Amino acid sequence: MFNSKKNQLVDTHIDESNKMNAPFHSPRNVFFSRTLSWSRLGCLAFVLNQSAHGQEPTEATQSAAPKVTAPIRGKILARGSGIPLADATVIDVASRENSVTTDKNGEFEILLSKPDGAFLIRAQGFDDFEVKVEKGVAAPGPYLMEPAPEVISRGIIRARRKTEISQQSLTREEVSRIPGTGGDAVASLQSLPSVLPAGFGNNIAVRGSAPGDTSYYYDKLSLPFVFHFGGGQTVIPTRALDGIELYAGGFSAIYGDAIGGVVQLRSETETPQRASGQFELGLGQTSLYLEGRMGEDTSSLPQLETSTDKPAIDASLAAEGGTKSATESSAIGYRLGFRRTYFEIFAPIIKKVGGDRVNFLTLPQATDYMGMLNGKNAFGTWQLYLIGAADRMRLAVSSDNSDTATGKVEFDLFSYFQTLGLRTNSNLGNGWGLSLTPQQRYFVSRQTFFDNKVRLSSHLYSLDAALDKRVNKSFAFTVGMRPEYELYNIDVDAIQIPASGPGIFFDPDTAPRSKEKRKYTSSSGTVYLDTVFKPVNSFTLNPGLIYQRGRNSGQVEIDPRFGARLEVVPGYTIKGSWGYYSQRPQPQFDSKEYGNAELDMERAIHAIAGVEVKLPENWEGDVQVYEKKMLNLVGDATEEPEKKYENNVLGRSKGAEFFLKSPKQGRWYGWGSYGYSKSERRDPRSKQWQLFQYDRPHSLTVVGSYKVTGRWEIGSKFKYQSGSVFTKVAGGKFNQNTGGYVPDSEGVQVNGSRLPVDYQLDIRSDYDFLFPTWKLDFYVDIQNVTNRENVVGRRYSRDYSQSVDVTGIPILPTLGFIASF
Amino acid sequence: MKSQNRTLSLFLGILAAFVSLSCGEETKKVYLLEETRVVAMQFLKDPGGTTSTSGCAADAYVQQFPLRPGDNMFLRIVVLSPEGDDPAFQLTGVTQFVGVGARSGARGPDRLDNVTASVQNLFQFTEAPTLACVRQTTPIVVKEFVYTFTVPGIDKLTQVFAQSGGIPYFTLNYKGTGKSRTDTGFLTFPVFPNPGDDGVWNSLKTNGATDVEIALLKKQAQTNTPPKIESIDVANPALSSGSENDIEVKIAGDDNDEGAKSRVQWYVSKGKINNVRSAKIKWKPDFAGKVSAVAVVRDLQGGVDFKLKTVDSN
Repeated sequence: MFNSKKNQLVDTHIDESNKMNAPFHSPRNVFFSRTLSWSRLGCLAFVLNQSAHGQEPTEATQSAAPKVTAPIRGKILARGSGIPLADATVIDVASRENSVTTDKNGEFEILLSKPDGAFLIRAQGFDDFEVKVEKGVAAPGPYLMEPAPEVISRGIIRARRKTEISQQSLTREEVSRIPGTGGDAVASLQSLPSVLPAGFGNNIAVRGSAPGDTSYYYDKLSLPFVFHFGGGQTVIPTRALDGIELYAGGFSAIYGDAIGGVVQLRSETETPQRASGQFELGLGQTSLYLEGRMGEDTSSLPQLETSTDKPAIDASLAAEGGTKSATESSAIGYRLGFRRTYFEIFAPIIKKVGGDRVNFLTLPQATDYMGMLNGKNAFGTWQLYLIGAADRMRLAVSSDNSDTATGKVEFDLFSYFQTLGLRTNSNLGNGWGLSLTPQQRYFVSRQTFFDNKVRLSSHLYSLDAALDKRVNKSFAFTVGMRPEYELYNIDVDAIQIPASGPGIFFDPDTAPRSKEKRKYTSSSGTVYLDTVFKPVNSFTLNPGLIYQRGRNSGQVEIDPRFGARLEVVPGYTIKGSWGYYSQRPQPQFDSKEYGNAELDMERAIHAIAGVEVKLPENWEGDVQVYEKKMLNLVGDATEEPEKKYENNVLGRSKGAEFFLKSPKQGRWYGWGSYGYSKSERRDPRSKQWQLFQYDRPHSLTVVGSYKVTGRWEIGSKFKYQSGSVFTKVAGGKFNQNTGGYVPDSEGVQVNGSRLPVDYQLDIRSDYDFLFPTWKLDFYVDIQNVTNRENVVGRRYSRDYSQSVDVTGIPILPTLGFIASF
Repeated sequence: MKSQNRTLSLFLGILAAFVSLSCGEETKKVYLLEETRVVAMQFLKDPGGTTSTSGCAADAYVQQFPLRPGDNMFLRIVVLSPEGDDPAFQLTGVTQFVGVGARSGARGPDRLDNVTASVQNLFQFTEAPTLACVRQTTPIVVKEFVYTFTVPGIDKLTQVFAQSGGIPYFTLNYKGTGKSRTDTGFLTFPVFPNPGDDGVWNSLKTNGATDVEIALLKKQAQTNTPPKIESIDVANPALSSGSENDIEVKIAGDDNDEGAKSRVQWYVSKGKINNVRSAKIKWKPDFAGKVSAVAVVRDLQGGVDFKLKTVDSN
C-alpha cells in the first residue's frame, strides 16, 4: 500500500506484520521490529551500527513515556493546487530513522516513536513542514505544502534535445514569465539571438529574412495567421503549449515553404492527470483555460514509441527528441481555452490623457478559442484540435488626412479562421512509425481601407503524412508529404502595394489599382525525405531532400539539405549545415490579377557552423556563424512593369550568435544572447546593394528570473540593440498631380541611415496567493522601467522640411490576476 | 503547413504610415501660409485667339487635359505667399520618359521608369513665363504665372509609339521662391492621341500593348471634365476668431474621378483647421482681421481648380 524508501540508515518499509503489531509497539519495539526486519534481510552491519550508537531508550524512559497506540495517517497536498504529493517523505522528528513516503495519492501512515512530538514532511520543491503531535494526535490534515524557492533536481537537468542545427528551445514556464512579453509565446522569441523586431508588435525578422519568410507551426497544423492583428499576441494561448522552438536556419527537410526560420509551437501531448484550469483577468484581456481527463487510467497498454517529427534513432533520442511513449493511460484528455481582449474600454481614458495629440484612436478586438482532445490507442497517440481566432479593428472618424467624401478616416479590418485537425502517431512495429494530420480550415479576411477593399475566403484541405523507420541503431529515415487543396473566393479592389512594403517613396495616390473577383482552386504540396545516419554515437549526419510545388506549374523546386553534428569530446559538439530553401511567394504577389501568377518560388541558401557546449552546473552555450543568400525574392516589376511583380531581388545576410543559458535550478534561471548580423537587399532598378529594412547589427538580451520566496518570483529582461535603418531625406517636392508632397529622392540612399541604439529594461513580479486547492497569481509587468525614449522611427512633416523622432512605448505597467486550480 | 500573417498585413504598413502622418503637429506647416507654396498648375487652351489684357490668364481660356498635339496652349501656375512677399517661379527642367506603367493603370511617375532617350521631344515651352500677375496682396499674396507651349503633331506621337510601345509622359520640375522658402515640386502629365486616332493606337498594339491595355489607355485619353469649385461658403459672414467655424467648398463636374470632390487642399492665412483634405472643414482663425482661405481640388487625372475666399474675422 505504501511506497518504500531507503536511505543510508534505515529502511522505512512497514510490512503487514509491523502494521498489525504497531499499536503495541513502544519506540524501542519499533526499533527492534525494524532491526529485526532488516536483519532478516541480512543487514547485520546495520544492526551493530545502530546498537553502538546507544540510542535505544532506557527502560525508565520507556516506562515514563506514554505508549503510542495508533499510527498517524494523513494526506499531503501541494498548497495552491491541491495536487497530492507522491514520494514525499514523512519523518519522525524524535527518531529520524523512522520515516515513510507517500503513495501516489499523497497518503501516508506512520507510527511515531513518541506520542508527543512531531513529524516532518519533506517533498521536492516544497518547504519542509513540521506537524506537532500531542498524545498521539496530530493536527488534522490534509497537510498543505508550501512551495520552496529553490528548484532542486535529483537528476541531470537537460533541455529538450536539439534535433536541428540552429535550435533554441523555451519551455512554457520560461515563456510565461518573461518580463515585457505579457507571457506571450512568440513574443519571447525576441530574447533569442538574431531575432529582431520587424514592423508591428511581435513580428520577427530572423537572420536577415523578412517576417513572412519564417514559418509557424502549431504541431503540424497550418494557421492562416499566428498573431492577432499582424503582430499582437499569439493566437495560441501559452497555457496550451508545452514549449516553443526556434529553428533560425539550416533546418532539415521536414520543414518546407520557408526561407527564413521556423517557429515550432508544441502542444501538450500528455493526458492531463487531473482537472485544472486557469482564469486570467488582466487590464486588457480575460482568458479561461480548462484541462482534464475523461475515463480511468489503465496500465495495460504496452510501451509504444510513436512517430513524430524526426525518426528516432536511439534510446536517448526516443526519450528526448519528441518521441513520446504511450504509457499508463487510455483516458481521454481535454483542453479548452478562450480569450477575449477589451482594450477598447480604455479608449476614453487614452483620449483624455492624450488630449490633442490623439487625432484618432482605435483599439483592436481579438478573440481566440481552442478545444483539444487527446488520448492513446493500441497503436499510439492521437490529438483532435479545434482552433479559432478572430480579429477586428475599425474606425470612422474625422481626420486632417481624410481622403474620403465624408472627411473621415475609415478602415475596417476583420479576420477569422477556424480549423479542425486530427493528428495520429502510430507505431506500426518493426521500427516503423506513421504520423497523419488531416486538416480542414476556413479562413475569411475582410479589409476595407479608405477606398481599398479586399474580401477573401478560403477552405483548405490538407494532409500531413510522415512515415518513419528506424532501420537500426545507426540509420533512420522519414518520408513525408503534405498535399494541399484550397478553394478561394476573392474580391479585391485595391491599390498595388510595393513588394517591399509601403516605404517612404510609396504614394498611394499614384499607385495603380487592381481589381480581381473570382473563385478558383489551388493545389500545392511538398514531398520530402529526411535521413539520419549515426555511424558512431558521437557523430550524426542528417541529409535530406524536399520537393515543393507551389500554386502554379512553374513553382517547382527541389532542395537538398545537409546537417551534421560531431561530439568532439564529451560536452563539446561541433555542428554545421548547408542547404537550399524555397517558399511560395506571398499570395497577393502571385494572384492572377492583383499580382503576377507567373512568379517563381523564392529561394535561399543557408550555410551554418557552430559549437554547442555543456558547461558546469548544467549551463549550456551555443555559438554559431551563418551566411545566407537569397534568390528570386519578389520585387516590383522592372523588366516588364505591367506584370507588377517579378522575382528580381537578391538578398544576403551573415552573422554570428552567442547564447548562454542556465536551466531552472536553485532560486533562479536565465539566459543571455548576443547576435551580430548584417542583412542587405539588391535593388532591382539600381542594381545596388542596400541595407535590409530590418537590419540591426547588434542585439544583446539578458533574461533572468529569481525566486525570492516560494510564492514570489521577480524577473527582468534587458535588451540592447542597434537602431533600425531608415531613409533620410533632405526635403520634399510637391506633386501637382496628387496635391501632396513626396520626398525628394535625389541623392537619397534607401535605408542608408540608422536610428540611435535602443535599449529597454522590463521587470515582472509574480506573487502567488496560495489557497488549499487553487492559487491566485498577481502579476505586475512593467515595460521600459527606465522610461527611456527609444527612437523607433522618424516622422517627417508633410512637406518633408522637418522631422521628428517617433519614440516607442513609455514606461508601461500592466497587471492582472491569474487564478489556477 | 506554413502559417503566416500574409494577407492580413496587406494594408497594415500603410496604416502605420498613415497613423504616423496623422499624429503630428507638422501638418499645420503645410496649410498655414507662412511660407511660399505653389498650389496649382493648369493646362489651358485658347479657344478663339483671346488676348490677355491684365497680365493674368484670360478668363476665356479653358482647361485641357490630357494634352494632345496642338498649338496655343498655356500652363498656368498659382503661387501663394505670405503678405508682403513677391514670389518668383521658374521651371527647372523637363524629364521625358515613356509610361509603360500607364498600361497597367499607373497614374503617376512611380512606375514610369522605362526612360527612353530616343523618344522625340514632344513638348516645347517658353523659357520664362509669358505672363505674370498678382491677383491679391493681402492677407496673402496670390500670384499667377503663365507659360506658352506647343505640342508637335501627331506623327511625332506615332513615332514614339513605334519606338517604345508606350505613352509619352513628361515631368515638369519647378521651384517657387519666396522670402523665406523655396517650394519645389513637379507635375507629371501624358500626351495622348485622341481616342479616335486609330493609326496611333495600332502602332501601340504593334509594339506589344494588349487590347486590355489599349482600352485602358483610351479611357485615360478621353478629354477630362475637370472638377470645378463653384463656391466657398462660410457658415457666418464674419468668422469668430476664437472658435471653430464651418467652411465648405462645393465642387461640380469631373466625371472621371468622383473622389476628386473630396480631395481638397486647404490653405489659410491664419489659425488652425481640422482637416486638410475634405470638402467641409472647421477653421479657427485665432486672429481678428481679414483672413483668407484657398481651396484647391484636383482629380489625379490632371484636372485642377482653385478658389480664394477672404473674409473678416472678429
